[in-house]
Amino acid sequence: MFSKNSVLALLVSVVGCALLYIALEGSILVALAVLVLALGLMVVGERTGKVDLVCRSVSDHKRISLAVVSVFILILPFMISNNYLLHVAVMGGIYSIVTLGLNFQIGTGMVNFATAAFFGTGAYTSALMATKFGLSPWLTTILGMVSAASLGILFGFPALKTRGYYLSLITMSLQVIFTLMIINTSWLGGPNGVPGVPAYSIGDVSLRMPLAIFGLDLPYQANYLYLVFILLGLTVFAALCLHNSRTGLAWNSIEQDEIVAITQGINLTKMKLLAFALGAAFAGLAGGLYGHYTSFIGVEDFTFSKSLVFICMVLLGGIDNPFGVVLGALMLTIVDEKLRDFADYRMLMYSLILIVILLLRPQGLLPKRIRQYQAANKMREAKAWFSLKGERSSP
Amino acid sequence: MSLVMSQILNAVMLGCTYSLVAIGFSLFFGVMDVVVFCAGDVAIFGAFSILAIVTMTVLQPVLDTFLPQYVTIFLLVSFSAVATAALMLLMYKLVIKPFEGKSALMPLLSTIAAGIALSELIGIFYPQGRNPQAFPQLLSSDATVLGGMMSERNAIIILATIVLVTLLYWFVNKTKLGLAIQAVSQNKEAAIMIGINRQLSITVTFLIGGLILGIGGFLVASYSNIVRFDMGAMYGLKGFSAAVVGGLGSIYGAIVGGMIIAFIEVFVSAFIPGGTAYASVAAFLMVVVFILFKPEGIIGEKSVEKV
Amino acid sequence: MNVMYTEALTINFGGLKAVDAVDFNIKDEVIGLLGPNGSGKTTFLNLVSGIYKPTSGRIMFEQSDITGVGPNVVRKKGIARTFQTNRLCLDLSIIDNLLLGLYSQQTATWWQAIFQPKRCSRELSQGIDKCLEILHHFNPALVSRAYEPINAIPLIDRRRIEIARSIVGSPRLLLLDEPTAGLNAEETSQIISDIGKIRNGNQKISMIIIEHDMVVISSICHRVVVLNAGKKIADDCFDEVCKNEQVCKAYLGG
Repeated sequence: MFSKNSVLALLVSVVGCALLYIALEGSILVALAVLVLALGLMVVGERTGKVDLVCRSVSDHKRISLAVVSVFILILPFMISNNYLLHVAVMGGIYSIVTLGLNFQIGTGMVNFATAAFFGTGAYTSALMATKFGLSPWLTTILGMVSAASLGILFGFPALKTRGYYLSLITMSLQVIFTLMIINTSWLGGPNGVPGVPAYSIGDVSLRMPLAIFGLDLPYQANYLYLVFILLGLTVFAALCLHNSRTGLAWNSIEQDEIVAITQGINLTKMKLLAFALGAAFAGLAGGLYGHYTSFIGVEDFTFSKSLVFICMVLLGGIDNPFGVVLGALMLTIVDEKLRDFADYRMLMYSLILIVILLLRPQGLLPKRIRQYQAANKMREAKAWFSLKGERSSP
Repeated sequence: MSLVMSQILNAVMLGCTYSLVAIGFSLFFGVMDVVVFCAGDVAIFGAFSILAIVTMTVLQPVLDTFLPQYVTIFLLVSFSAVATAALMLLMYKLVIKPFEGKSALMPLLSTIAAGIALSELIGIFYPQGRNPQAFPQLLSSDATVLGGMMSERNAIIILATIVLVTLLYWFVNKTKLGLAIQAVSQNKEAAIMIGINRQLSITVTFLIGGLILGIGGFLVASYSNIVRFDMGAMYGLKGFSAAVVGGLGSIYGAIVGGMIIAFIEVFVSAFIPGGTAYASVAAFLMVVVFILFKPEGIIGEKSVEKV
Repeated sequence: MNVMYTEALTINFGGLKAVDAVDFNIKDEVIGLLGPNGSGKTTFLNLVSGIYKPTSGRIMFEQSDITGVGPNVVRKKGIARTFQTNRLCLDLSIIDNLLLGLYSQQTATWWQAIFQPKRCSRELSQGIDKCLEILHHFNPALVSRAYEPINAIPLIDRRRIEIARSIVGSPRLLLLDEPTAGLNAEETSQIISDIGKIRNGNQKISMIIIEHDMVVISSICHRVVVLNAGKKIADDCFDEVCKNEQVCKAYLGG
């Protein structure tokens, strides 16, 4: 009935969700302890080679893991002790979408310090379209994605001519310019931000109304939790598809060696701009969600330090591993929100975490893995194939 | 005095402060091929160290009575320069050396993080550190020199920069150690092969860079009369931009780049209506355009990738 | 008929003419490109593969003018190359590196990757089969290691993988830049026999090989072109070229 691997996949998914739940519910120390525990488990797993087994069983039994995670998200609002923690989970989901997008650029070897500008473009476009022109938030979110993607292409053009430090400096400059332009433009709300951003609504039901299921009144954050995590699921799916396609391979090869990439027929211009445009569209989507969720956006959410936080999330989770970056975003959001009472220490904590990761585990919590094309099947195929042909040729 | 003239002087002064940070960036990039992003924060740390001493009540009588004013200033600046040099060396050991030979992204991020950590530590531990601090007017801006052409403060800023650059020029070109540093900058392997102590060269470069940053921090704080704990990030970004515009790795380029950025900022503020808000925007736009069309900088060699 | 030919191909680096008015043609054959160090052999390959843009002259490939087009377009048209120093993507697996060689043959876009995953996975598994076949051709032992990163593979096999990557997309013309550099005698002969196998297996592939080992040149090349200081000084079969006075001079510095 159930193979050993399927049980393992079930177990891993449950433990993963449980750890995230504990981190979310516990105090800051508990959250940090979970982070350390997760890291410890990974290190032990790598030493003993168990990680490969776990990854293989999860990827062989995707449906089981998906079911566990879906159930977890579904029952999360019932298990959680207060609305604020639910809000943290929603924010974690929103930031995860941003980091998935940023990962396209970092996976192509372009470290982009302007992610917050893309996030902000989505948020501002969506919020302003909805408040000033009264368009439906669903529509404005799509417009936000489009405008963020356009800005992504614009910001991506320098990447065609420069690399490394120079590209980093350009994206930093563009990020600073973006922030200053928002502050200086009164039509965009200037330093006061945009208040009164309308919520999404389905039919006549606003998502900012409490949700009543099974005679229980769930806080309105639950609506957004479901919405955000459905979208997160879709973006993770898209990111995985891209990662395993020739597009993802092309991105990685550009990161490794541009000359090799171009001599294999890869159009660097197209692929680099694509990484920027798609990544920015993801960030724009998240920005739209953010505005319509919190009902207020202000420029301080879209500054250089926010960009740095996004990079920190990708790095903590593991560059070029979609599951890793989501994990990194969730964990850092949890830890960050726990530090709300110690607001002065937040940036200090980010910077120290970043240094510690870089020093001790630069590959992140879940390091990138060799692509396994339908892993197990292919491997068996290859072995069978090998044994078939093996005997008749020896060079 | 005409408006243009006073704005030019103003720009030269601002340019001097940017140039000093840019020189720091260029020196570090030369020997290590890394962009040390915490340079701006280290400079601001230097300014805070002076601030701390001056406001320390115990030392007040000493500062006021014993010594002539210029000796006091010299001692204060020397103290902060030594402090920043030591700090820079610490930064090197903690967040730069461990990443030698790894992807360039890592030291970039680690130094950005170290810069933030440093500024946050100032914000947390300095009394009311998160509020802007008035920087003591050690250099008088009322007294004027050259027949009213410029204030004494400004004259000292410009003079100090000239003296520093001259000293640096002498050190880099005339001393054995300076030549060793140049050799390491130009060709690491060859320098090691002919028996140059690379580690020593790096250490000395970081010490000297730290000294210059300390003085730069003092000058920028004197120029703007206030210091904020988080000023370093912007100051560093402008300094890095200046270094890139001038040509990363070149000391003279750093000075030219610093002046260009300062002139753009000052002139946009002064002569374009409503331009003050857009001064930084203009400067950064110029940086973007510059990198795109002349990435090797004004003074710098075009590198050709070998296939 | 010529697969590829150049007319008065020239490139200036500053004042230096690294390749100087070279007329070159290749039919369905293997040509050895010889010349002392700095004579412009690699530069010539870089020109043909589109990495450098020529200062003047023309490159024609299968009746179309490819002068000055980008390396990616050149690859799509059917010219593949290897590099003097091994250039594989070290973090990627063998199979990924080989799939890169197939990139120009595949058509799945990012859009299809997300919205038509079935179609993409069909193309992908066809690609994987082809890669495994090529890999088996070069070294059967590598097939079972196909999902290991290149980091873990010895140098000789990396060479093989690089050559395999360049031919997996069935190019019409293959440019090999010192395929045996850094290998010992035994490994050299293995690589050369591998290259020979490509020709035997697929007659429709022409090759230009830069090589210093004269034994290798004489054993696999139909024709030899010698460059010196950017100029073509000889173009003939190996035995004739050996007798050429200019060539001896260029090599011995006489």
